[in-house]
Amino acid sequence: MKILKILSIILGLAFLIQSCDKIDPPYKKSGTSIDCEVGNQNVLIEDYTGHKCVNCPGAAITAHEIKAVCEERVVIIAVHAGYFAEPSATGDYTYDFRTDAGNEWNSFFGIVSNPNGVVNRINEDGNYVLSPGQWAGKAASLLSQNSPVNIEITNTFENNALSTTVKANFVDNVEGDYKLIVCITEDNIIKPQKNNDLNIGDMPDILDYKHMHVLRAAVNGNWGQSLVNGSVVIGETISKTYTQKFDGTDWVAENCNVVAFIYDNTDKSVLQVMEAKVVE
Amino acid sequence: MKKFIALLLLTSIFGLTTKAQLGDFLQSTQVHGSFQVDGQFYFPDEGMGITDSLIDGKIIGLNGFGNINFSIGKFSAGFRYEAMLSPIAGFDPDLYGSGFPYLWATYSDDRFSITVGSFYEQFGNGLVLRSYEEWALGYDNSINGIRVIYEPVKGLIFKGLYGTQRYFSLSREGLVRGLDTELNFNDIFSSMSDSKFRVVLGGSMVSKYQPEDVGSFYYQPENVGSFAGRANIGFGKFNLSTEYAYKINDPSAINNYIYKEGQAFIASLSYSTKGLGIYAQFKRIDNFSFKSNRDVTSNALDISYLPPINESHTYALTSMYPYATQPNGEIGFQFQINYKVPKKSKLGGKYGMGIAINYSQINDIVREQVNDTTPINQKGTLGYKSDFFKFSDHIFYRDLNIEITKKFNRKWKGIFQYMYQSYDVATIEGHPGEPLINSHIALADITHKFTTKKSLRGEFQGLWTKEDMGNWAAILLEYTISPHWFFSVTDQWNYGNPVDSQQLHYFSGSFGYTRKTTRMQFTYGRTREGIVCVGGVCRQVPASSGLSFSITTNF
Repeated sequence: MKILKILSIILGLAFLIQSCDKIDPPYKKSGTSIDCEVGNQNVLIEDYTGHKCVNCPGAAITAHEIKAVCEERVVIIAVHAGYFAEPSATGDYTYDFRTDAGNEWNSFFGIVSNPNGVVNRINEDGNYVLSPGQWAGKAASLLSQNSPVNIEITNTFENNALSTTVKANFVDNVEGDYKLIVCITEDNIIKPQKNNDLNIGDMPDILDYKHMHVLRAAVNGNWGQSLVNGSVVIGETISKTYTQKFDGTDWVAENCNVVAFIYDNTDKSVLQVMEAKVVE
Repeated sequence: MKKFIALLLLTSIFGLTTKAQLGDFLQSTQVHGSFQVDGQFYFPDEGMGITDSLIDGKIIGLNGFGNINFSIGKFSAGFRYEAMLSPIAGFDPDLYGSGFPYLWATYSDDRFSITVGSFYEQFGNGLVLRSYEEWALGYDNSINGIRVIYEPVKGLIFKGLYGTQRYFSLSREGLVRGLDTELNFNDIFSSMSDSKFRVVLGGSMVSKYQPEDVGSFYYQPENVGSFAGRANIGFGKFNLSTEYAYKINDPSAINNYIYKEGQAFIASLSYSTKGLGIYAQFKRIDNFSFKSNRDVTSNALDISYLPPINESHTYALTSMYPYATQPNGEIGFQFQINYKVPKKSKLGGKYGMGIAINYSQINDIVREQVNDTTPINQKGTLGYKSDFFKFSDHIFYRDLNIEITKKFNRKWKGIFQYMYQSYDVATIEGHPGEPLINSHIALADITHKFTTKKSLRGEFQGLWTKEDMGNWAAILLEYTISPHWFFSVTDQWNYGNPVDSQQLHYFSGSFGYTRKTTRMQFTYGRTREGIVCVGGVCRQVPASSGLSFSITTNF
C-alpha cells in the first residue's frame, strides 16, 4: 500500500512535468482559424471604452485585428461609457463621447471596468461581458454559424440629414420577439486618449489619437423598435426607414456609418448586423 | 442545539433507526457554522452627486452567507450557501446570484486525508498556489476537485490536487493541477528534534490547462507549468524564510500576451528576543500573474498569490492609499523594528512603552528590449529582459511609519503614529499622468476607561498632501459598554480639496450589539470613494450614502 502511494506521487510528478507547453518563436500564426467563407452570421463587437482608459487603445487594436480578417462581416461599435469615459472639467479630456444609448447598454450589460466588450450580445451563464482576449474566439465561433436573416442598408444624405432604409431579408422561418436597432458611428475623430503602451503611441497621453467606430446615437431608441413579434416565413422582407438630422452635432457625415442590428428581445442576442457608410 | 441539528442531518442521510446507533453518532458528531448578512440601503445625496438616476432603482445591496460544517469521527463535510441579491456597491456585479458554491467532504486519518468537492489550499507562501476566500473583497478562488494529503512519516508531507476554480457567482473555469512536498528535518531526524537549528524545505509544482482560444492570432500554451522551492531555516532567535518560483511562458491579458517566463522571489529574515523584534524582507516579482484563464483581468481565477511586503494599515487615513501588488513586476523591501521600552525605566514609566518603526519601498523592475527592433512589452513577443536585482527609479509605493503604544495609567492609554507615504496613483489605480501622492499622516488613538466595562476611545487623524484630493482630517469617538454595546460617531473632512464644492464631510454614526456569538452593527452616513485592500488584493468602493448593517453569528 505504501509503495502504491509513493508510486502514485511519482507518477503525478511526472505528469506535471509533462504539463508544460513551451512555445518557440514565431509566436504569431501565419494565418488564423477564423473562416470567413462559412456561414452568414455577422458579428457585432461592442468595445466598451473610455478616453481615460489606458488599456483601451490595445483593445481597439484587437477588435481591428478581428475585423481585418473578415472585413464587412465584423462590425465594431466603440461605446464610450462609464468611469473612464467621463469628461474632465478642464484639460485634455473635456470632450464628452458618451451617449444615452451607450450609458444604458453599459449599465445593462454589467460593464464595470474597461476595456471590456460584448460580442453579439451573447449571454453565457448570466454574463455578457468578454475581455478583449476572448473576442476573437467568440467571433470565430459565431462567424461559422448561419443567421435566418440578412440585412441591407441604403443611405441617402441630403440637407445635413440622413435617411436610412434597413431591409431585413429572411432566409429562414423565424418566430419570436425581435427588435431592430439603428445606430450612427463615426470614424477618424482626433481627440486625446490615455495610453500605457509605447508600441501604440505616446504615454500617458496620445493627444492626436484617431478614435474609430465611436457610437454617436441610437437613431430609433436605445433598445430600438419592434421588427417581428410573431412569425416570419422564409423569403419575406421587412423594411424600415429612419431619419437622423446632423444639425447641432459635430459629426462629420463622410466619416459616419450606419450600423443596424436585429436582436432577440428575450435574451438580447444579436441575430444579424450590418454596417454601411452614411456617405458613399 | 448542535446535537439536535446533527441528529436531524444524520437520520435523514443515513436512515439510522436504533437508539444505540444514534447514541454513538451523537457522541462523535459535531456541527459548527457561521452566518453573516451585510446590507446597504442607498439614499440620494446631492452633496456627493448621488442622485436617484445614479442609484437607478438599486436601493438595496445584500451580501450573505451561511457556512455549515459537521464531522463524525474521521469524516467531515460541509457547505456554504451564498446570496448576493444584489451585491453591495463596489462588489463585482458578476457575483449576483444565490446558491451553494462550496460543498465538500473529507476523510482523514493520522497519515492520510482526501477531500472531494471545494477546498482551500496554499503551497508555501502561495507564490504558485493559494486558493482562499476573502469576504470583504468578494473574492473566492476555491478549487473544486480532489485533494490528497499524505504524510508517510512525521515531517514529510505530500499534497496533490486537481480541480477547477470558482469564478464569481457559481460558474467554474480553468483546470489546475498541483503537487507539493514539505520536509521538516527536525521532525524526521531524531538527532535534530531538540536542535536550535531548524530546517524545513519544500517544493511545489502547479500546472494549469486551458484550451487555445478559437480564432487566436497567436500560438498559445495550453498547459502552463510553474515550479517553486522554499526553505525555512531557523537558528536560535534568527529565522530565514525564502521562496523562489518560476513559471514558463504564459501570455495573458494581464501581461499583454508576452511570452517571457515569470519569476517571483521572496525572502524574510527575522530576529526576536524579549522586548526586541527585527524583521527584514525582500521581494521581486517579474511577470508573475498566474490565472487559470489567460483572458481574465479582474480579481478572479488567480492561482498564485503574491504577498505584500508593506505594512497593512487599518486607520481611516493611513489606509486611504493602500498598495496593490503589481503582478507584472515590482521589486521592494521592508524593514521593521519593534522595541518594548522596559517597565519602570525613565521612558517606559510604570507600564513600559512600545515603539515600532517600519519602512517599506516598492519600485518597478528594470526592463530592457529583447532586441533592437522589438519595443518593450510588445504583444506576441518575449516582452523584455530584466536584471534580477536592479531597482527602477520608478517608485510605486513608499511608507515610513513610527508607532508608539503607551499606557499612562489604569484609565488612560494611547497609540500615536506618524507616517510618510508615497503612492503612485498612476500605476496602482491606473490613472497615468497623475503625480506621485506624497503625504504626511499623523494620528492619536486614545482610550479612557471609566469603569471596567465602560470606555471611550477617540481617534484623531490628519493627512496632509499637495496632490490628489488635498488635506484630510478625521475624528472618531467610540463609547463601549462591555460586553454588549458600542456607539460611535465619525467624520472625515476633505477640507483641503482643491475644488471648493468637494470639501465634503463624510460623517456617520454606528452602534453595535453583541450577545454571545452574535453581533449586529448598524451604520448611517456617508462612505467616501476609496479602495479596500486585503493582502495586496484590492477592490474599489464607490461613494455612497445611506444605512448599512451587518449581522454575524456562529455556533
